[in-house]
Formats: sequence, C-alpha cells, structure tokens
Amino acid sequence: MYKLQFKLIIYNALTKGVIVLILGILISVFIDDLSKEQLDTRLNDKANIFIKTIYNNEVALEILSKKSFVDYNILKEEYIQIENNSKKNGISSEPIFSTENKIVENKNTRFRIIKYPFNYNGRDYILEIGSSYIAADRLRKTILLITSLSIVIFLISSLILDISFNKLLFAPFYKIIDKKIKKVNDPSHYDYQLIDTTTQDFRSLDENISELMNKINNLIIKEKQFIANVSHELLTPVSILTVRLENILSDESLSEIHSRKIYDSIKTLTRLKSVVNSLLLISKVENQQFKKPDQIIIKDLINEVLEELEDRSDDKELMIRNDIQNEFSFYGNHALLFTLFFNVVNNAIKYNDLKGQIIIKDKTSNEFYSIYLKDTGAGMDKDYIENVFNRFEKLDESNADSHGLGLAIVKSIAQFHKIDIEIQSEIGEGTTFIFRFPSELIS
Amino acid sequence: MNLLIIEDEIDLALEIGEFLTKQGFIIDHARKRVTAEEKIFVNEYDFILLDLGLPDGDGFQVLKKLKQLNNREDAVIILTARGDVDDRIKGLEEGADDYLAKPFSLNELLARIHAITRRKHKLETNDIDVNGFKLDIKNRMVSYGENRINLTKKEFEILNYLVLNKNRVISRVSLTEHVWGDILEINSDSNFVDVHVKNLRKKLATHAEISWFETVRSIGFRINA
Repeated sequence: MYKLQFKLIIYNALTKGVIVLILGILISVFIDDLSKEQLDTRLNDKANIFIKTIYNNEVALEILSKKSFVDYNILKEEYIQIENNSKKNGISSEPIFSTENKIVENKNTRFRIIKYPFNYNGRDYILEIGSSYIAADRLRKTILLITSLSIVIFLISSLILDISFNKLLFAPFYKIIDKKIKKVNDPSHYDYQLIDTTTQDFRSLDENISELMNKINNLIIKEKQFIANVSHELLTPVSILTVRLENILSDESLSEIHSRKIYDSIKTLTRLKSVVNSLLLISKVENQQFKKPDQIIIKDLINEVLEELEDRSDDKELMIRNDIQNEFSFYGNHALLFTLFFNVVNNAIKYNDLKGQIIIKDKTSNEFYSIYLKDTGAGMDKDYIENVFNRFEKLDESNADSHGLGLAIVKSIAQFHKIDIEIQSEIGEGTTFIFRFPSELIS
Repeated sequence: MNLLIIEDEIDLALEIGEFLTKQGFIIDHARKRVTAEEKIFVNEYDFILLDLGLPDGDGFQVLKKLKQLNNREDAVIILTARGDVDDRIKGLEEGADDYLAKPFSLNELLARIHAITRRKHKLETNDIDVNGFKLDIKNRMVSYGENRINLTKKEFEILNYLVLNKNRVISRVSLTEHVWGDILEINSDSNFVDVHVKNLRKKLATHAEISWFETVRSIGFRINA
C-alpha cells in the first residue's frame, strides 16, 4: 500500500520524465540535421565569397595557374582545394554537398564538403571547401549537455515542488486522520471542530466523519441507557424472586424435597443473575464506562489473585510459580484487571491436571512488556482457540455450571486497557496465555 | 431495632420486611421519596435500606436530607439494581454505610447489618465466642483456648459469615457469593465452596467436637450457637 501523495508524485515524475525524454530524443535527432544544414550554408557562403574575391585577386590568379591547390588551416579543421576540371567531371554546374572521411595527419576526420564548379578565363575549375565535423560535434555536444542538464534540473525541481505542494495539499487530510480519528477511543470525546482547509473534498470528509461520530455517539448513549434499563428491569424481578425463595427456604417446616427444589431454583436464579451481570459488565467495559484511576503493579496484582485462589489451587495440589521479575506498573482499573487475571488463573486451575503446574513469568522488549501464564492442563485445539473469546463459548461442554462468559469478560477488559492477548496451546500439553502490555502504557 | 425500607418494588419490600421481622427487627416501609423523607424527619431508625431508583426521585436526595439532620446515627445501606459504576463510590461518599447491588441474598443483607452494628457499637475489638472457638474479627483470626488455628482468608470469611448468620441455614450459593463477590463465573460453580468448608471443618475438628457446624444436605450449612 502506498500513500496517495506518494502515488501522485510518482505519477507526475513519470509523465514529466516521459515528455522530457521524447523531447530530448527529438532534439538529438534534429540537431544532426541542423548542424549539417548550418555547415552547408557556411560552406556555400565561403565558396561564394572565395569566387567573388578570386576575380580581382593576384594570389588567386597564381593559385589558379597551378594545376591544383590544397590548403588546410592551422587546426586542420578546414581546407580549401581548387582543381582543374578540364575533364568536365560532374557536369552539373550546381554545387554538390557530400560527407567524406579524410586522413589528415594520420587522423581520420569526417568532413562536410562542398564542390563548387566555376569558370575562370574560359577554364573550368572545381572549388572544394571542406569543414570538419569537429566544431559541429562540439556544438552538438554542448547543446545536448545543456538540454540534458536542464532536463535533470527541471525534473528535480518539479519533484521537490510536487512533494512540498502535495504535503501542503494533503496536510488537512492527515490532520483529520491523525489528530481527530486516531485519537478517538470514545465518540463522546470526538473533536467536532472542523479543520482549516480550502479543499472541498477534505472539508466534506471532515463534515461527514463528524456527522458519523455524532450518530455513533447517540447510539452509544442510547445503548448505555438501554443497558441501565435492562439491568434494572431484569435484576429487580430476579431480586424479588431470590428474596422470596430465601424466605421460603428459611421455613423449618419445609420438607426436604421441597427445600431442595427451592434451593435449585435459587441456584438457577443466581446463574441468571451471573449471566446478566457478566453481560452488563462486558457492555460497560466496551462502552468505556470505567475509569483507569489506579496504579497497577502487575506483580502485586497477580500475587493478590493467586492468594485469592490459593485454596482452590491447593485443593488440586498444583505447583504455582510466580517468576515475575520486573516491577512493571501502569494506570488502569484495579477491579477490572483483578477480574481479568482472576478469570484466567481460575481457568488455569480449573482445567489443570491434579498435581499440575502453573508458571507465571514476564519478559521485557522494546515494544512490549509481556506476562506468560502457562498451565499443564488439557490444552485446546486451534479451532477452539479462535472462538475462545466469543460470548457463551464453553471450554467444556459437559460443564453445566459454566456460562461461557469468563473469557469474553477477559477480552473486553484487556481491550479496554490496550492489552493484547495471545493463546498458545497444545492438546495434552497445556495452555499459555500471553499478555502484551504496550510500552506506551508505562507513564 | 427499627428499620426503614425505602423501596418502590412492593414485593421486594415485603419479602425483605418479612425476613427481617423474623430476625427481630421492627419494620417500616416507604415507597416514595416524599414519604421516605417525611418518615426520616419524624422517626429515628437504626437502619435505613435505601433504593436509589424511586418513582418520584433519586435515593441520593433522601440520603442528602438525612445527612442534613442533626444528631442522627441512622445507618444507611443502599440497595440498587442500577448498573451505574459510580453509584457505589458516590453512595459511600455521600455518607451511606454500605452498598448492596440487587439481586442480593437476604443472608448477605443480614451479615452487613450485623457488621455495621458491630462497627457502630465498637464491638470489633471484642472476640465472638462460638462454642469455645474465639473469632477475632479485627485481626481475622480464630483460636481455641490458647491455640491459634491457621485458617486461610477464605476459610475465615466462611466461618465469619456463618457465625454472623448463626442458627440459620446458609445456602452454598449465598456463601459462595459472599466469599467470592459478584460477577465472577466462579459463582455458578457453587459446589467448590464444599472444599473450603471441608478444610475448615477439618481444622476446627482437631481442637474440639464440632457437631454444631452442620451440613444441611444439598442446601448448605448452619452453625448452631
């Protein structure tokens, strides 16, 4: 995945590059023709001037009296040659241009040559003027150099401009994402102040997100209200029934069979109460109705949980080792975190083998502080682990007492505290719960 | 002891009233905030059970009115089915003595009333005697004669709860709930409390005969004293 900004810059750079490249190719093609044409014009001009001057020039006469004459200039870049043309070679009286290679001072040099026939004192001559391509090549190189240099400068500067402009252009967009959306845990804390932008799309995005947040917020408020009502409406009748049944149970004249039935009814009601309370707890945690006012020292918290469950683990003759080394602490909700670890340790005890083990240790890395809770119990298979945090999922179908909300509670409390939970397990080997506390929690 | 039940659910109020009458309390009822405030103004109570959700107002208003009256020692226990997290804190801050979330067990209510009574009358320092066993509530210790009995936290809690509710059958459910608190899944696993009771009885039995510590088959336990 790439940022839109990045994509736009790449697109711009590519299209500009292609256009400039085509331009460069065209220039380098035309520059050959251009320099040839320029050379030809110059040669033609020189020939004309030479012929004009020849008629009233004594040196010229002397030259013409010889059979042929060749003269190179000092740099050997140009030469002039006059030949008798008695054989009437090249009948044409028009000048002829050609390109030839000549060996000049052991160097193979390419010349552009004009052959210019003329008549002097009734005799035919051919004037040949050659000009090496060296100068033209030099010119061509200079032009190409300048062209490519300006292309590079153009590309770089446009890239820099693109980047900074895009940055400016997208600033409001990232502001919406980083400063507003990412910060929101609870829609009721959303910052409804619109950000400054002249881009209509971003304004519309901003407005729509605000509106959405508002809707979500209203829904959550309604849900909180609903939860409060449900808890009242469900728990009040349960309370009346519990109290009434307890009153009946306390009647000494009640037959054994009836008191047992009444007791079972109380048990059922307690179960119902437990389910309702668990669901309410999950909802409240998920709706962020709890605060995080307590400084939690993980080591102490776990010791507290272990002490609370001491009798239970003793009953199974478990060996429990608390190997936590670090004094990791953070702000959280003590009651909730106690519930979290209580549920997990309780499961580790409940599903452990007789005389099994529970080992708790910790590990620190740059990103996380981790707690490992390993038991030597029955273990779970992969499919099961995937669903283990779902509500009403039971670890053991035959266990009628369990309502399958324990780990759902664990998950919601962990999420509330931004704690990540991973489960590693092998059937018959045991299960390891890994709790990862992001290092940002420490503060 | 006289006790005012401020509760708009008539059935609930009557059941609580019936139970507490048997325990020797003199019961008064109020179903609305206005009547509750009138009754509090006219009479002094040892205990007030206060429901927060009243048809004509908030239970906290009643609590505030009570606290405005001078020289009053009425102990207030808040009873509520409102799911609000902060209610407990707010209630205790406003001067309530205890807080019970509905649904609660009548035994739990009675235990709380006893605990408050002991606190108010500074009885905490006194040991409770149960057939020769001495319960030191303050230090949470039990001894028989000169011998201290090593009980776990939970075992002490169980014994204490049964003693507070002596001569009455306490169901496993009620006991589990008292010892383990609310919400936890362990509540539904009520037979586990048997393990604790078994260990507790074993520890007590090494010192004296404990036939007064009865197991009431399939329901729960009773301490006769």
